[in-house]
Amino acid sequence: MAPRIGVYVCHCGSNIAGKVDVKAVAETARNLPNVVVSRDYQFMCSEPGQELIRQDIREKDLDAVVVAACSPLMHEKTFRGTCSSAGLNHYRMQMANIREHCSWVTEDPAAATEKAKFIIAGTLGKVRYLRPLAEREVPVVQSVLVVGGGISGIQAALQCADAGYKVYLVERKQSIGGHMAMLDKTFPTLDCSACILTPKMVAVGQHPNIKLLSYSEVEGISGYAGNMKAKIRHKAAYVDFEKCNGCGICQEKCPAKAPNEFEQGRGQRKAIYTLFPQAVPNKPVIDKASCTYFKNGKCRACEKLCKRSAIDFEQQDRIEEVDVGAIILATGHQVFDAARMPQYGYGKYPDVYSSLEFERMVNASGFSQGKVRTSQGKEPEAIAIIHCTGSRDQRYNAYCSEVCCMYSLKFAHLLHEHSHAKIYNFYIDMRCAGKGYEEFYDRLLNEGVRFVRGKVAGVTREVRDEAERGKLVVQAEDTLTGMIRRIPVDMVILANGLEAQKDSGDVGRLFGISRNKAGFFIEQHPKLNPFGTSNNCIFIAGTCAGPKDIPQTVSQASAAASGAITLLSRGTALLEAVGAHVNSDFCSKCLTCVSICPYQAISTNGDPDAAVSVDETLCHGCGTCAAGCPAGAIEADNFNDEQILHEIEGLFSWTRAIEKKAEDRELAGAGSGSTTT
Amino acid sequence: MKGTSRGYEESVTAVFSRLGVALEEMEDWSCCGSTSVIAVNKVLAMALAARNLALAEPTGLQLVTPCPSCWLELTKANNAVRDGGKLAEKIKESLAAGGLTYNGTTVVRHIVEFLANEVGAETIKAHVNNQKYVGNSLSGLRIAPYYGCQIVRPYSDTEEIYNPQNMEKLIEALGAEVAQFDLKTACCSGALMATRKNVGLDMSKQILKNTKEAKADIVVSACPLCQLNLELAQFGNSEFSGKNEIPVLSITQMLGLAMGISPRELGLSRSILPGVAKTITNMQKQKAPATIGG
Amino acid sequence: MKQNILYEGRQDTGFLDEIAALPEGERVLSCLQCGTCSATCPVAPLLEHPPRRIFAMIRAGMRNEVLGSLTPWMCSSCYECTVRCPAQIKITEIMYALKRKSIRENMVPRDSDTHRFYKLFTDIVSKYGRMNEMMLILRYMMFNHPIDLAAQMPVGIRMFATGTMQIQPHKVKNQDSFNKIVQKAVSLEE
Repeated sequence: MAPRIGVYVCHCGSNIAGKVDVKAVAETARNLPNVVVSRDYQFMCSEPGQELIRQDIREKDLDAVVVAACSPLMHEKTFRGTCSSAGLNHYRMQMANIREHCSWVTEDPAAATEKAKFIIAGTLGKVRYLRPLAEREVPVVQSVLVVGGGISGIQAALQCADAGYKVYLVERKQSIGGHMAMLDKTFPTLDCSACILTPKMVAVGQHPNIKLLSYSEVEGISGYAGNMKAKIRHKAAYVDFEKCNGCGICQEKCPAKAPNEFEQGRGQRKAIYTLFPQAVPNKPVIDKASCTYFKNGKCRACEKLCKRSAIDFEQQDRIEEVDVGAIILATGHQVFDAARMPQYGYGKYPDVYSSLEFERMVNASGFSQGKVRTSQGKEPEAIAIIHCTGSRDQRYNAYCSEVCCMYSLKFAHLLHEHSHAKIYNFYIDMRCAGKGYEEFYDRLLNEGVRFVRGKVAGVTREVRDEAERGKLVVQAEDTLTGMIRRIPVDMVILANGLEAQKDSGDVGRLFGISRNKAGFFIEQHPKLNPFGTSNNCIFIAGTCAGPKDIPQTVSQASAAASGAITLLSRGTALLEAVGAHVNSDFCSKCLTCVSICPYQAISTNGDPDAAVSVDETLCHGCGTCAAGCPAGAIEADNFNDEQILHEIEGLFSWTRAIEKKAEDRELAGAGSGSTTT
Repeated sequence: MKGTSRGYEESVTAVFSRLGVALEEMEDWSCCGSTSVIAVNKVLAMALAARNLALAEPTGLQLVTPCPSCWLELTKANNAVRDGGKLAEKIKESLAAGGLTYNGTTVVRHIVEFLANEVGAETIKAHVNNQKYVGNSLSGLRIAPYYGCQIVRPYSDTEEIYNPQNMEKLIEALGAEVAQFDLKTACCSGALMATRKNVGLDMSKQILKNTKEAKADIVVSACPLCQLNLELAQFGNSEFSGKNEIPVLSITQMLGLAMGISPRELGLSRSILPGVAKTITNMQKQKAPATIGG
Repeated sequence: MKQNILYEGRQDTGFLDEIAALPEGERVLSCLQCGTCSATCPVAPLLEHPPRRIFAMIRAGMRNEVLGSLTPWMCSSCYECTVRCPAQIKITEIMYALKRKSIRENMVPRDSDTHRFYKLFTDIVSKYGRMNEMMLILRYMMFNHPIDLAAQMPVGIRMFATGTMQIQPHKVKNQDSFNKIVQKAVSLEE
């Protein structure tokens, strides 16, 4: 039976109709073989537009539809739904992109109209040969994997757990809490960071639905939509967490010391240590590199003193595999290393501090017990805070890190409370866009902080005025007065920007998530889906997706959790209907396809004599194997040779039709000598 | 370098021959235009510089410049030709008018970097330790490495820009002490010393003051104009006379002294500061009396 | 009384685009007016228009003030601004372009004669292929700073004594080829 095809040409307002003569295009399509109906309409994706298609499918018994409109990325889903709701298999609908591929990129209207006709002719060639396919529904495993235990991971985990789902929360440090645990106070409310964070941390530790896997990392992910297997490595802590009750005597008595990473290297910790007093879990780990026993076989004091015999020097890494239906990435950020800007003297002058170092200094449980003192132990008389360190800078990070202006104001306030020093904030712009943020800036203006609008060129010890002797001199142009200013200070605090984690590339590859130029994970849509990714079972939250403050982090984490919950509560996920199929007669077992499949979906099933086969559940229908097979033994649904050749044939047939028309016109003109028909 | 930096040239010849590096003075070189021609005419400036690159190309030899400004202008011309585009075409057209072609293959190096990397600290140390005339040893003297602008900016990586170390390597290879000071890459004022003398003097004096604070005995300079400016800032200036005088040596003059070449051969007498050689000898007597007399 | 007001109709609103269109001006539109260039410029405290302000004036279309400003003539090409600019604008090269424009359009400020020094230098090099410092200094000083010339005598005498003042100009050997190159290059300047 001959196919019955409907063609629908969308005006898209003036997006297409402003350049392409849509009526002429529809008219042309009407005259092409097997086209039963051809219409044009203002907005095909609108309800009346879709109703036109539905009606035609029913009344004219259409068995294939071509919608000539925007990119399938925009409305393929819409029109597939239209067709299936009228009873036509949605894989018998193909979109012809005459907007992004035509009206938006062609200057000449006549050329654009011709091109649109070409595109539709090609699509018509293919659509006849499209096979009706169906997605498979698979059940979704009813558990969630949250990677990262900072505030975003904690929020996401609690949200999912409260909704009744089982959560595996994996954190690579020995305690959850992330960067927020290192902060002293949070802007603009000046809440004590640990005070607002720890209740959530405790909730995570005690929640019946959350399995907290601390000191662990995800090593591998396998499986398919809604049915993923995560391989998790529990690093050897040399402490049995089951037995340990967190009494702390091992930490107290351990003789070996090392620089304390939590205190940014400005304080010391023991070789067996917990991260901070409110750690969850509050169990210590042994750092092999600084432990006396591991280094030269002596000591073992912790083992001797532990009343629960929880020390186990023989402990090994342990691998665990868990099944999950959804994954939330909440791996956080790292802070810009100011040693990359030698002109600021970080690492050269001991009194130049990074933002996190200062947070720890001013925190009551930090390396300075909350006292603001120079490296010489003196009270500073003047302090400079330098905004935009490493941010808004083409040489380092071109973007704005969003939180530094606010935390620099916070620093100024804390210094105002903790010291009598004169405080100078050097900024380019003051970015206070959140709720209560501008008011916070006004508060600081009224606390007598001296603001200088000018990016600091450098910090130096060179003396040009007696008042500068023995001080660090900060030089900047005060752009508002137009004067160059040299300000001697005792302490410089840098507002380091936020960056993607060093290993975000590895993490991205592990989970199959793309990153942008700066290394942050890419969301499914920057406006309308900032927490989803290209994989509909993996979500992102927090600073791993880009710099943001705590309210935005928490919101995004809950959004990611809602995405996971929606998936799990639906209970099923749809697997891509388009897949690859192997013709075993042609397969020469060269195994090229096996190595190039990005989803590891092809295998020989252990039988060296058999042809390869594709695991339908893992296959995403990308077509890489079909393209790579030297024997042409693999076909990808809806992109097989026959279909593509017919699309090309469609284009050529249109060319021939035009040429024939031109010929006819010439003959008619030459013959009769009168005006042509 | 036949003019005010004659001393520098003499020392380059003397030192390189001692080091055994074959130095061929480029045949028929012409002025690169420095910072002056480019202020008037850009194509001319690039063509003048490119002329030297074109003359050097067929020799296949590396082009080593003792002057940072030449190095910078030659590098700019080289980059322009290699990048292609309108400027490259104009340069090539200009050279063609004079019968020259340039394909962008000449390698240009500055003498400080060449000595530190190509010749290397070890080789230099060997020459210093091997020499027969010990009287010019620099050990015990504090030498301030003054880079100036054009060899560290703009064509260097971040470390080089803020904390170059090539001259320090050479100073240490000679057995002398490095007198580290904050302004080692600050500007001496360049041509402003001629056109805005008071500004130039202020800028150069500041650098000298900073080296004094670092307790430097001698300043070694990578650039002949910097050397001249730092000397002009002291000439006839009571602030820098007698014990406060700071001899300013070019890099090869410093190397040459340590290698036992005579001050006369090194052109020390060409300095506009009188008696530089004697000043240095007195310093050496004070700091390391045992080594004098050989 | 002079009023600090700009009437937009009287400004050259295309001036920023003109500078941005120069090969040196490729990133000038990204200027954040952060002030790093001024802060690091060694002569900025002496300038009525430190580098950042020059760019602000370019943005405001103040063509006459910019081309008539002393700032480009005080630039010693130290490149500090260029390496520290977070927008990676080629500031020093733009200063050179402003110098050239200012000469070409006869807008060099009256209280500067630096352009005469540069022009003299260029003339000597164009003629001989090599620099002759005595010729340069004498001609420059005699016309522009005759009194100062006398004060510089001690330096001059010292230079004669040390043999660092050449009297005879050295010339490039291949004079003919050199002259053709110079002529062509000058004719190709836009």
